[in-house]
Amino acid sequence: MILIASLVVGLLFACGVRMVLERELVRVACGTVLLTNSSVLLILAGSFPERGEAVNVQPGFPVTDPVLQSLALTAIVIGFAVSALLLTLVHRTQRAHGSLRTDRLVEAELKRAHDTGEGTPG
Amino acid sequence: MPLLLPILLALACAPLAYVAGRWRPGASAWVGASGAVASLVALGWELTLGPARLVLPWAPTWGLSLEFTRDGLSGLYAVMALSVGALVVLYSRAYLPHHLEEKGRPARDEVRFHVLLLSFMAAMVLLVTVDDLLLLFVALDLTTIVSYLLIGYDRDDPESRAAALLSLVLTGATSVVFFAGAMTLGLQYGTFSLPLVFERAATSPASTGALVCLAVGALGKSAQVPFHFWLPRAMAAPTPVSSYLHSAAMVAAGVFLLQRLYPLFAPALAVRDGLLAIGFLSMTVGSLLALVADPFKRVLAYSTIAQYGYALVLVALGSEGAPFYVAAHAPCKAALFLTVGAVTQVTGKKKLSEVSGLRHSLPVLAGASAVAAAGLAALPLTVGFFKDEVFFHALVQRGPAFMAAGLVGAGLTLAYTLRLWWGLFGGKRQDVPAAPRLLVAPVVVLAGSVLAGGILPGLLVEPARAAASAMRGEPSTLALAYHLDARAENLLAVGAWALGALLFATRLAWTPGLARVLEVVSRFGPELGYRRLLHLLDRLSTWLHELEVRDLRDRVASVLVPTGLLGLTVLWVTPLRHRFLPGTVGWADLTLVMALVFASGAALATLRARGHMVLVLLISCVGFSLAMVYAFAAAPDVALTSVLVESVFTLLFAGLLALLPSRRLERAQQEAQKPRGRDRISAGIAGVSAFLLSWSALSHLQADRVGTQTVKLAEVAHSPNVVAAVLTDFRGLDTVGEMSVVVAALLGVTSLLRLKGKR
Repeated sequence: MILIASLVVGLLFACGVRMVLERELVRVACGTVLLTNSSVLLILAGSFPERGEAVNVQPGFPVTDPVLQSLALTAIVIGFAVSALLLTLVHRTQRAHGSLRTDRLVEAELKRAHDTGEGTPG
Repeated sequence: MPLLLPILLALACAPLAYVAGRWRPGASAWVGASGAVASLVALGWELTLGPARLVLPWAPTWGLSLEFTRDGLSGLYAVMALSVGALVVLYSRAYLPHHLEEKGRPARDEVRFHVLLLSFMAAMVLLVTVDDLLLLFVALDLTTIVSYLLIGYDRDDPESRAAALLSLVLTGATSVVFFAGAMTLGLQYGTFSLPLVFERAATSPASTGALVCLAVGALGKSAQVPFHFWLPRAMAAPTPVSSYLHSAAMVAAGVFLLQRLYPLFAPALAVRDGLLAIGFLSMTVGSLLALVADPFKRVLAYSTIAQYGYALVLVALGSEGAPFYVAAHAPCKAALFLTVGAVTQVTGKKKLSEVSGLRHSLPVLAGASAVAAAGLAALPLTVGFFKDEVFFHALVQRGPAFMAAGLVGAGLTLAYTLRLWWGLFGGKRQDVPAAPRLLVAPVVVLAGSVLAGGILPGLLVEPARAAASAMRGEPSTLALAYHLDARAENLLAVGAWALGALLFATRLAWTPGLARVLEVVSRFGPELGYRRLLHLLDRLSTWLHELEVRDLRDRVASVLVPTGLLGLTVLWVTPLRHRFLPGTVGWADLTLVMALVFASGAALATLRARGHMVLVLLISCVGFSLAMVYAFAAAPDVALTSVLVESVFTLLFAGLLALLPSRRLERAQQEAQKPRGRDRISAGIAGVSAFLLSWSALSHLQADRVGTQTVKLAEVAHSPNVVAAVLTDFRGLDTVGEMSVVVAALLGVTSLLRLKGKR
């Protein structure tokens, strides 16, 4: 069970990184969602081997670790909030630059630095 | 805690001066100087009480404590730092307004200078009072940081900034080496407390490597060869800074460290021989350069290198005169620096070749600086005479070769001191306006102390002996008195004066030749190596930067890949690596595994998704499969939240796609190029690292969980749902933090969506 869970964590993480490294902002946002999912899974995977009841605990019965559950809850909610912000930023960036491609953004950034006379650092 | 009183007073000087300066800029110097004097009085009162130690617990679990000492060595150096500090602050009251006006800066910047100078003084007092290897390092770095700000005080001047950076890099790098030495000793002896370290070092001597590290830190600070080149460059600072750094603070700190740690060096004869060689080398290099330098401040800077070379020789020989030497040098050098500062301010000139015959216009300054110069050149009736006496005394015990080296060194000192003083005040008459009284008074006070020490040496015997016995850990028999007989020390002194006078008289014959030789030699000095190294590092940094910013993807990969590799390395080197548990899978786990497989399949499919809508649906498919996993893993709260969040998120995503113009979306899809090979590799490294790290983490779960305690405590919280109890009761603050993140994010979302226009 441990091996399977950590394999899935690694797979989700790899897919997330792969998406984040795409050129297009919508896919980058999707990648971060996958990364969030993989970390939530990792937190909760700590309770997989000895899971039991979560509510209405009876003495002597196994219990799913409540601390891990609450940590996972926090992670999910914060992940959602941050992803929502990120999506809105994608929307804003598209409005401002007229492009969804990261290389275009870099070009625009360099151009502006050049125009304002700051030059590239270094 | 009476021992802390002088330190606290010294630490209070800078803030008090700042407050006073806010009220009236001119007041900061006076307030600061009175604070320094108050601290000096407190210190004097304490020194009458005899040696003492104070230990305050800091982090007892790690065996760390704040340890302070009051002994002869710390007393001598603290008196030096405080008294010279007070005088220099007063002097800068008269010096700074003119300086700032020249640089076109507002007059209120003066306060900043006083505050920095007083902070430096406090750091120095702290350094000499602490009795713990780690605290020594902390105080040493404090002096480094403040000295950076002081040397770079003229921040509009590129040369000044470069000099400040050079001193920061050099003294900072060497103090990191010192830290390495301190850590080695701490690990070897199991403590950082100096008395304990000394005690344990008596039975098992410190390793040579650790001692060399400590010595490198001290040599960098004291500007000894091969680290000497930062000091002349630091002359770009305003003169009061140079005066203080060279006489009683910064540069003295290095030699102080060696004296404080002398019991460790005492048995290590090889290290001491190395220090001896460096000391003699610094003496020679510094004296020769001082003989030909033209700017007055450079002459004095090279002289400092040479004089601390003497002090280093004394430490290396284990002489009891070492602390006294530094103390006797301080007032002479401070007075001379303040003199040249006053000359520069009155005449506007900075070079020896540009001034002469100022004795007619500045008679008091000429007289006072003559006394200070005599002190530096070790003429009788000044305290300087005794500094050379203890020096010769130490050399006589080592044999004729050492005596000859000492003779030449002292002769050179007299020659360059005469050259400096004569260049300023002797020769053809120049008429200049009189110097402000506040510029001259500190020089007169310092010269008075030089003279008093020379006429009444008996007063100095007690502090010098206390410092020597604190350094060597045994009672000292140091004697300071005039002896009118033909003993070796006296003969050497007379010989040195004769040599110095001869060199000075014939200076026109050899100066140009020596200057040419030194110029050629210094072109291949360590400064060249430093510049090369800096240039290479600069190029490396530019190259990495270029590589990183060319593409956003590389920026992300340059964080993820090294982190992943770091994680793999950690797993490789830690002894946990044989403890990966595969875990057990039963029939009951079937649903869980199926949901996990579902999630993985959906995640893999996202990589292949072409359309954006498909992508969004696949992402939410991953989310819902994971919600299923949580449900099968008996975590219903998490599963419910997950379903809720996933639904809202899918709607949000779909809404975003509707907001984005479809034309642009299509183009972006078409233009999204095929993945580069290195992206696959980056993702692979990150994934493997995440997999192995989580596997290792999940294989090492403790049997005794916090959760079992929480379950018991949930009854007290009157909540049948343990998770709810954890969220609201036990980790309530976490939940509050989580809520604020959500609120901040939502505010961001709404304000971003409401923004109109392009920017």
